[in-house]
Amino acid sequence: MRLNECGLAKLVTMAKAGEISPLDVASHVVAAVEARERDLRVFLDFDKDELLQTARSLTDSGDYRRTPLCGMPVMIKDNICVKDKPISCGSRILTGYKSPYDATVVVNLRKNGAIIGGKTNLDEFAMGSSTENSAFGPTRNPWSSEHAPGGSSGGSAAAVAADMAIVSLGSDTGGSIRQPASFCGVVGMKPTYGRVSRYGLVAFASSLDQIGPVTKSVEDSALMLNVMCGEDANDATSLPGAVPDFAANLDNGLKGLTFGVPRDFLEVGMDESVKDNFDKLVTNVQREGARVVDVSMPHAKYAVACYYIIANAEASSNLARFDGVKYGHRTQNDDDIYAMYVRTRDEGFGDEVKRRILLGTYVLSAGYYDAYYLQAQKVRSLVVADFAKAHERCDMVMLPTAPSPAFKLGEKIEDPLLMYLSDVFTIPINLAGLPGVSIPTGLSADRLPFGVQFIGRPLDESTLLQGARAVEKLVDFREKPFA
Amino acid sequence: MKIDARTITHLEKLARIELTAQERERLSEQLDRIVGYVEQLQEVDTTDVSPTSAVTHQAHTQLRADEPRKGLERDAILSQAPDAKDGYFRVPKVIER
Repeated sequence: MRLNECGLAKLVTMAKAGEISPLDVASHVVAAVEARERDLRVFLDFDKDELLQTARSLTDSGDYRRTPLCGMPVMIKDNICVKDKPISCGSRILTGYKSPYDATVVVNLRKNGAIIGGKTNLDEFAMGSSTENSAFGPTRNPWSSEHAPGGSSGGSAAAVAADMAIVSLGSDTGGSIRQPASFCGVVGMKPTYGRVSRYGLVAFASSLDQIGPVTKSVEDSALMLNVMCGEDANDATSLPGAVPDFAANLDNGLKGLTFGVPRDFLEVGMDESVKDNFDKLVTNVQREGARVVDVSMPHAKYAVACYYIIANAEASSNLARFDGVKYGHRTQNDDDIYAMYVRTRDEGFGDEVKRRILLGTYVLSAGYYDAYYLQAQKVRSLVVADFAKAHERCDMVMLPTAPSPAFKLGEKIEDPLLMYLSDVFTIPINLAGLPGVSIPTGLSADRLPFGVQFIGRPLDESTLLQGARAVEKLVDFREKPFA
Repeated sequence: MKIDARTITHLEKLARIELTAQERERLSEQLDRIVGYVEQLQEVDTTDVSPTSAVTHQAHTQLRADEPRKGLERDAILSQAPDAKDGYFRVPKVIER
């Protein structure tokens, strides 16, 4: 049995029983990375010797059996700080920079017995939906090398899909965990805003950013959340209070759950194949004993427009810190301070980042603030209210994760607006700060995965995961990208 | 056209970004289309709707006690800067003599 193909829950059970060791798992993961990295380009940093060495010392000490994650490796999106490791955010502007500290989520993972593995590829500063905006070249979709893995957490999703990882971390600002998970046929979860500390996550849009897991099953996502969440004095938005056991209700099934389908929002359009896949699933869910109700979300269709104002406004402010003074790259051509700033940023940032900073600057600038930024914040309130109303009638809202299966590399990169629209179904959830999870729900005629996402009430990941797990069982998706 | 060359040049100054003429032409066209798209927000009636800056799911922002505490080590931070000396970040001359 190849251990790298197993999920976290199964490996943890086997490790606790003494059937396998962290070194066994790490060895299989390393073998898969060595076989597939050249084709897929998942990692921006991967230290095979260090991973094996850490796994060996854990195995020798035997202590791993007393920890929740039992010495299993976790791959990390390269916009999350791991102490003494390079962090690029997929950008040239951080060339040479190493994190001087661990992100809180990394501290939590280590405390619970994880081994921190490689750093995965992403769109520059998580801005994109395909990983094509990485300064280091795109990751390939394991299901088809011509196709994008989605983004921005494309490396994290492709790693899990290609069994080069057991689990990985991503970040989700407008769908950046769920959309690539959907494109790669794996599970991707964005917890409620504030569940996971963002200390050590390089900020893109602070009112939307959230860290979450990419996994091979809903159960694995629950296990990851159990060790990732919790209040953190270093992130004022992290939520106080006890963290529930997210795995407690997992097997309670579909009965008693109500799913809401926003038919009006679905009219924004999607591929016919996506619609078929989604509609069939809705019918199945109902047939298996869940209630399905129509809900109305009249403002969700404005979410993309709303998002590209709010997210970019916040980004233009957050990315001001990259000025050639504190981190990474500084231009050689720095005869005065102004020239140093602009040339450093011109050399360091790619096209999409420049576009977004300029757009964010535009909507915040004098004369435009009320028309764009303030209006977007008001429309955001209406999107929040749409969900609140929907959640009065159902336990979770159900939507396709993306309007199409994976698109081809190069297909949308020249048309930013078209690229943005691939996040039409994921963005509203970030605006409302809600938990959402995408699961694979089948394959298209040309063997590309479909995904469906479930959106829960704030802080109610437990019910959300129960529903997602029940549907996962119903779908029983077992396809693999490699024969 | 909302975003013309003059607007872009102004934004570049504000954002400390300098585009080449070629980049400026391409980006102004793209930005203009994006701004055209987000115009649709104007059709939404937001009378009496208050703005949302973040959805925090908690009644109050958590504030820590205003007490000094240990941060990151200065030298660890400075070791990653492009240029540092004597415990400071070093930058090109800011003030003319």
